[in-house]
Amino acid sequence: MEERGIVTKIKGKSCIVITPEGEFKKVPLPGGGLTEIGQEITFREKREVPYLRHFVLAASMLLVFILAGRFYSSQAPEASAYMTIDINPSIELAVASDGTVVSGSGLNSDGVAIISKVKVKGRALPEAVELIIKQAITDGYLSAGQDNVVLATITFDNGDDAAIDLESVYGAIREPMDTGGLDAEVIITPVQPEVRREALKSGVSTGRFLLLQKSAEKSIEFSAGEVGTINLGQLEKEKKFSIIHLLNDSEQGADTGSTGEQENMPDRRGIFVERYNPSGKNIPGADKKLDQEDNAADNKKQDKDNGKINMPGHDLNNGNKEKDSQRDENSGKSKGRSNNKDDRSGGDQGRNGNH
Amino acid sequence: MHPVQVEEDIRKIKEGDRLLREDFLDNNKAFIHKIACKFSRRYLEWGRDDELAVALVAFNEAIDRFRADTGVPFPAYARIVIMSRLTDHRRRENRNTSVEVPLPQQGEESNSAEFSKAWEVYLLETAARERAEEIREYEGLLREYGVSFEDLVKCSPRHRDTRRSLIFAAAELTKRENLLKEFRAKKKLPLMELENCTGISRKTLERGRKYIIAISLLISRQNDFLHLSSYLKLPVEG
Repeated sequence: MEERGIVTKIKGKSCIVITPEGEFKKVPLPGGGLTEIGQEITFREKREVPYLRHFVLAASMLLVFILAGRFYSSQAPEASAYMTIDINPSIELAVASDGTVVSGSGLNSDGVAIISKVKVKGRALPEAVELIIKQAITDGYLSAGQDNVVLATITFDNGDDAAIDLESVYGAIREPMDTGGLDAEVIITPVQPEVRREALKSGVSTGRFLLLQKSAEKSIEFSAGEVGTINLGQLEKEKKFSIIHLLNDSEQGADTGSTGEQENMPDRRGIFVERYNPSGKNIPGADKKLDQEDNAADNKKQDKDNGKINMPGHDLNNGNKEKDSQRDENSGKSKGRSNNKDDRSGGDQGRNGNH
Repeated sequence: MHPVQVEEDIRKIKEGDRLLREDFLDNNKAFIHKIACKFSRRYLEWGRDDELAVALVAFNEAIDRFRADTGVPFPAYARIVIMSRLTDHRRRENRNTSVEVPLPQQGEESNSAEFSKAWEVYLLETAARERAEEIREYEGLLREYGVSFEDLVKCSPRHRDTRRSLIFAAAELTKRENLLKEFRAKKKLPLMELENCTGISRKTLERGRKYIIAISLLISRQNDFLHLSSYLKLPVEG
């Protein structure tokens, strides 16, 4: 739109005009350089351009925000740790360094079913775990009449283990089962990032992959297919082995080198193995998990005091392992924690004495 | 003198509305008087001084000569004509008639196109010079009130309605003698009173403060800023 105005001031390449409408405007000086103050000039209405500029600016900022938002929600906060939960459903939770769940995914069809029913994203890890266990109980994966096993693994990226409080995670698994009156074996074990990567490759959860690995070592045979889908409690029953022992054993096997090394090994974060019995038969202090910083000597002391399996259980008798798992199978779930002491005393009597 | 109204009146007068011509002349006597006084640099009285009669005749002539398409507003045009005629008059009085007058006598322009052309050039040049002077004077006046053209660019309202209400406020200010006095003395807008008499919110008034100052000055000194005030579509001075 062509507009007119009287030039009131000339400054460099622009001038100030007053329009018949009474508006003062700064416009580019018309070419030719002959413009003088008082002259009436015509100029193009430039109003649309700034508006367009604003619009473009606003639009591009909006775009940036949208992209950043997407980026933010999908990429950051980056997961610093992963936790898998295996019952039959296998679920993996990615955990940020502040302890909140970044994402949750089902690793088998049952796991997908569970994760689709609970909202874990953005929750604190224990809260998320509790929701998942509750859902598993609701869906009948954990029930009073069967041998319940919950195997949880925690993988820390970059050795950053500050994100996860094992105690509260353990509590979160136990709590819903407590209220449901379920007898369950709860195992939490840290694993190396490499194990998780390999597990991802083979398409099973880290926990099941770990089982597969360990069972191969112990020459308990089951197929990857079995490990991937079957309920852990059933698996334990069918194959007549104890997951606790399986995991413990190989840990111990690795540990038998030297005590000095153990302290430096990343595995020494502490394995937390617990047999849980809601009927009140818990040995006092059984809930305590092995402190990550505990040295080997402390561990031993605790082992004796609590009758609880703690890692590293390097004073376990290797020869009793196979027997132990058999016995475990026969005499019920609540005995697992006592085998450390029992092994030392070397017999069934000692084990039973704990109950 | 509202520019649109003035041009409409002049058109009617040219078509032969004698009564309107009488009214128009009568209404503009103050304007004519002021110009004549300024030219003579002394106070003139109607009926006593020839200059006023010459100026009145020149004003009447300006009505007939005026052409809107030159871009010069009528008051400015009339002033140029009056000044020219007064110059002629002075020369005649001084018996110094050797220099030809650039403004052709009435009725002569038809048979002297060249003369007419020269007059038009003279008119436009004079008008341009006057406008420039006017703007410089206006700028100086604004400076007294702490306002610059740059400020006005920043604060002149973009929206037509806002602009109109601010112009209305400025007109209200100039209509009220006491407010105008206060404004001129303190060089500050009596915002409170303006708010009361215009009903425009104080926020709007404050935002448009400099703009109101600029427009008020233009309206209250319309006769000094003939070009500018005619150029703007401003309301009539109270």
